[in-house]
Amino acid sequence: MAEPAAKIVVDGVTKIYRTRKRRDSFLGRFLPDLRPKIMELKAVDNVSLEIASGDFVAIIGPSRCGKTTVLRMMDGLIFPDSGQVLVNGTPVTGPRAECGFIFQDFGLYPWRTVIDNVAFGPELHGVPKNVRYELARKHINLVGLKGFESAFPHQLSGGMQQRVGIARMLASEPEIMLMDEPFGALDALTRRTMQFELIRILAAEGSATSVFVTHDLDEAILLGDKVVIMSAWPGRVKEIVPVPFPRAERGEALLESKLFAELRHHLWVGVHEEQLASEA
Amino acid sequence: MIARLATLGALIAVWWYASLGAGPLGVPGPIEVIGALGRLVASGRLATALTVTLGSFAAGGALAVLVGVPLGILMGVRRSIGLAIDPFMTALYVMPFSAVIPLFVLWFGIDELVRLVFTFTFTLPQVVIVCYQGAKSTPTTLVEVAKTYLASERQIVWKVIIPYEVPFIFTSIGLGVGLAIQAMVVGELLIQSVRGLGYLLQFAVASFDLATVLGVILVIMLLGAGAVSVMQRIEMSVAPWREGMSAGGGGSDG
Ligand SMILES: Nc1ncnc2c1ncn2[C@@H]1O[C@H](COP(=O)(O)OP(=O)(O)O)[C@@H](O)[C@H]1O
Ligand SMILES: [Mg+2]
Repeated sequence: MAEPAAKIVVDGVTKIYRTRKRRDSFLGRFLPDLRPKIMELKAVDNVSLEIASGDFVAIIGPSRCGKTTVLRMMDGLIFPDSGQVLVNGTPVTGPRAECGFIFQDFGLYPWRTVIDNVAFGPELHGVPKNVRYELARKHINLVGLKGFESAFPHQLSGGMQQRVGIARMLASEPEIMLMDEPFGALDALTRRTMQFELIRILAAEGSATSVFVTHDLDEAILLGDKVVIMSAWPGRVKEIVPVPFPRAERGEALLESKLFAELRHHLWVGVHEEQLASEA
Repeated sequence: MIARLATLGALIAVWWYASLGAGPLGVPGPIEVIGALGRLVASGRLATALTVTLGSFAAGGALAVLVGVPLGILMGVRRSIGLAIDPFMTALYVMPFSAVIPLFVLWFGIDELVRLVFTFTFTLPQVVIVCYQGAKSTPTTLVEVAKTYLASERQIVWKVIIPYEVPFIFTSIGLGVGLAIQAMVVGELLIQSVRGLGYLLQFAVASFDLATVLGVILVIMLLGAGAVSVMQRIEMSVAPWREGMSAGGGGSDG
C-alpha cells in the first residue's frame, strides 16, 4: 500500500454548533416561546491543514477560536458540517485506534490506580492482565512515575496526573497524538518541566505524528515543527510558521537565544492582533 | 471523637437538668429511662417487637435499593427512559404517606406485608432520584476518554458510569436507611398493629409510661445511627479512592 501523502488532511472544514435553548422555568413550558428554537454558532470556518507523517504541529490562537473543535474533529469525537477530515487517507467517522487524545483536565478515572488508568485502553480490548500491566509499567517508567503504580490520581500532583495521562495515551501505541492544552491546568514551573519531559518522551517513542493545542507561545516553539496561528472567531487558519530549530537543540539554551525571541515576537504579534479582534 | 463524647455529655446533662423536679408527666430522667429499657429487655418485649418490625422494614428497604439503584442508573444511561419515569418518581416522592396508609392497610393487611410495601414505596423514589442524578452527572470527559479508546456502549456503562455511581449508590442507601426507619415508625403508628415497636410505643403512651416511650425512641435513633455508620464503613472499604476526594477532586500542582 502506498504511503498517503499526508497523515492528517483537514479539507475545508466548517463546524457549526447548534444548541437547543433550555426552557428553564416551569411556567416557560406552557407559554409560547418567541425566541428562535435553536441557536447556531459557527466555531470554525473553512479550515484546511495538512499534517505530514512524523510532524509535530502546534496550534495557537485566542481562546474560543475553535482550536479544541479542530482537534476533536481529528479524533472523531465530533463531525464537521461541511468539508472533511482524513486520517491515513480515509475519512474520520469516529474515534479510531490510530489516534490518542490528551485532555486538558487529565480525564483520569479517580477509582482506578495509576497502573489501571494507564492500562485502560488495552483492558478494553481484552489484553490479559499480565501483558497489559507489563505494557503499562514500561510507559509509567518512561514518564517518570516508577513507584506510583498503585497510587490513586487524587494522591498525585497535577503534573504527575498529566504524566499518567501521557502514559495512558502511549500505552495504546497510537500513530497520532492529539493533545488539547495538556499543560494548561499546571502552574508555570511545572509546565516548563513537563514541556522538556514531553520532548524527552517523544524522542524516546520515535516517530509519532503530533498535534498540540496551546496558548503558550514558548511551548509552541519548543515542541512544534510548525506553528499554526488561528484567527479569532469564527476560527480560520491565519498563518503557518515553520520552526527552524532541530529537535535535538530544543533545551534550556534555546529559550535564551535571539532567534527564539524573534520567533516568539512574530507569533505574539500574530496572536495579539486576533486577540484584539476577538475582544472588539 | 472527644468532641463527640463532649456533645453527648452535654446533651445528657441538659436532659438530666430538664428532668429535675418534674412531676410524673414531666420529662423522665436518664436513670428512669435506662430502668424502663432494662425492664423491656428483661421481659423480652423489646426483642419480640424488634424482630417483628425490623425484619419487614429491612426487607422493604433492601428491596427499594435492589430495584432503585439499577432503575436509577438505567434512567441516567437511557435519556428517554429517564424522562419517561422521572415525573412519576417525583410524584411518588411527594405523595402524602399518612393519607395512603389506610388504603395500604385495606390492600395489604396489618402484618409484615403492609410494612414491607410501605417501606418500599416510601424509600424507592429517593434511591432512584439520587442514582439517576448521579448517572446523569458523569463528567463528559470521562465518557469521552473511553470513546477515544474505542469503548463499546456496554463498556462505557460498566467501566465508567457504574464505578462513577458508587458514591451515589452509598448516599442513596444511607438516605434509604434513614427513610426506612422513618417509614417504619410512621407506619407502625398508623397501621394500628398489635405487634412491633409501634404497638410498644402506643401502649406506653396510653399507660402514661413516658420513660418507656423515650427509651423506645432512643433505641430507634441508635439503630438508625448504627446502620448509617456501618454503611460508611462499607463505603470506605469498597471505594478507598473516595478518601481525600471531598476537597475538590483534583490534586494540587507541584
Ligand atoms: N459543545 C459545544 N456546544 C456549543 N458551543 C460550543 C461547544 N464547544 C465549543 N463551543 C463554542 O465554539 C467556540 C469554539 O470553541 P473551542 O473549539 O473550544 O475553542 P478553543 O479551544 O479555541 O478555546 C466557542 O465559542 C465555544 O463556546
Ligand atoms: Mg480549547
